[in-house]
Amino acid sequence: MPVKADTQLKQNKEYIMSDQLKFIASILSIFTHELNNHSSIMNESAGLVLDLIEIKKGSPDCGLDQISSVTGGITGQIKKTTALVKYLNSFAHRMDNPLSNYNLYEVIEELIMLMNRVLNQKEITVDMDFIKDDLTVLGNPSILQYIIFSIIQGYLKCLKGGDGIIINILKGESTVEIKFHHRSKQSISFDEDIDSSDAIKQIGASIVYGDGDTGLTLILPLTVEVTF
Amino acid sequence: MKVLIVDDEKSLAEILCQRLKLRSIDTDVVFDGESALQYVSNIEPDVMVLDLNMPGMNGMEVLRKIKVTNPRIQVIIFTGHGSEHDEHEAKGLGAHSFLMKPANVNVLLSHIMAAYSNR
Repeated sequence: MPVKADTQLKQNKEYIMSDQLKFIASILSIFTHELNNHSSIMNESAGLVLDLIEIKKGSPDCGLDQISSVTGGITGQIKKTTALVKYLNSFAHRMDNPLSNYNLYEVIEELIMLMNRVLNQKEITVDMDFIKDDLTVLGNPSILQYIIFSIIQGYLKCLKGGDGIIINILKGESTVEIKFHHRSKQSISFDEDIDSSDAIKQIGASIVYGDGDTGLTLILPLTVEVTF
Repeated sequence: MKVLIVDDEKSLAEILCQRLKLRSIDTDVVFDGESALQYVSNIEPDVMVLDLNMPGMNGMEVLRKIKVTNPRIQVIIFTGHGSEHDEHEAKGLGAHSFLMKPANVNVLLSHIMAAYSNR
């Protein structure tokens, strides 16, 4: 391989790695913020139970209904936290192997759930308009999540509160199309030069941009060619 | 003394409100910045406990506006993810203090009392 091409390849790989690290850091930042909120709610709920016990001590009205309601709230919050931690754990394990069989729906859902806080902050909804079944893809799920994250970040820059993103999936013979549309009162222009363009090449995918408001389609091979 | 809690995390805001009420602090709660501005245009609380990251208008914008329209309101920033830069900016805008979540309710109460005495 010529030296110049080799250097270019190395620079591209370093660029992808650095950008992927930013993506992981961003997911962790959203997650820790969310987790901190959950901890705060559980902390305050437990404190409220102690307050009620202290106040009602020796009183004929022992306030059991109120205490029961607050402890029910704590249990609900723990369930939410556990689900969120499960998503993060699965997200982290996607990086164990660069090549694996993965369920496409689960990979997308996991990313959207981890991005939930930032979507809520911007008041933007994501509708996953697909039926979950067993659509298996052989490839690198982490890079796919990174690409979808970059696409959604691109939308977040253009969309306003109350707008939405719709994701459809269409399975073909050898490829699968992940279609992104948006629901917005105003016309938006999507930045075609999305940051993850090198990563798209890396997993053998391509992006087709629609006209005007028709969004974009990420075309992904169902299996990647592996060369040793 | 009247306290207003402004936080988009509804469960947290409501529980804090209950805990302050149990300590005989007259407390109300709203869940976004726009509602906070609307609230203070009708009733002026003595102290506002304000989250930073909220959908729509964020806490820093609320603080900036409050300090123009109702400068007597003492604002305590109560956030889960505030940086030193945020603290510096908030204090520059006139926030009384900057408190990180989760915090013991008695610590929050001491900040509220200190803010109230600063009025």
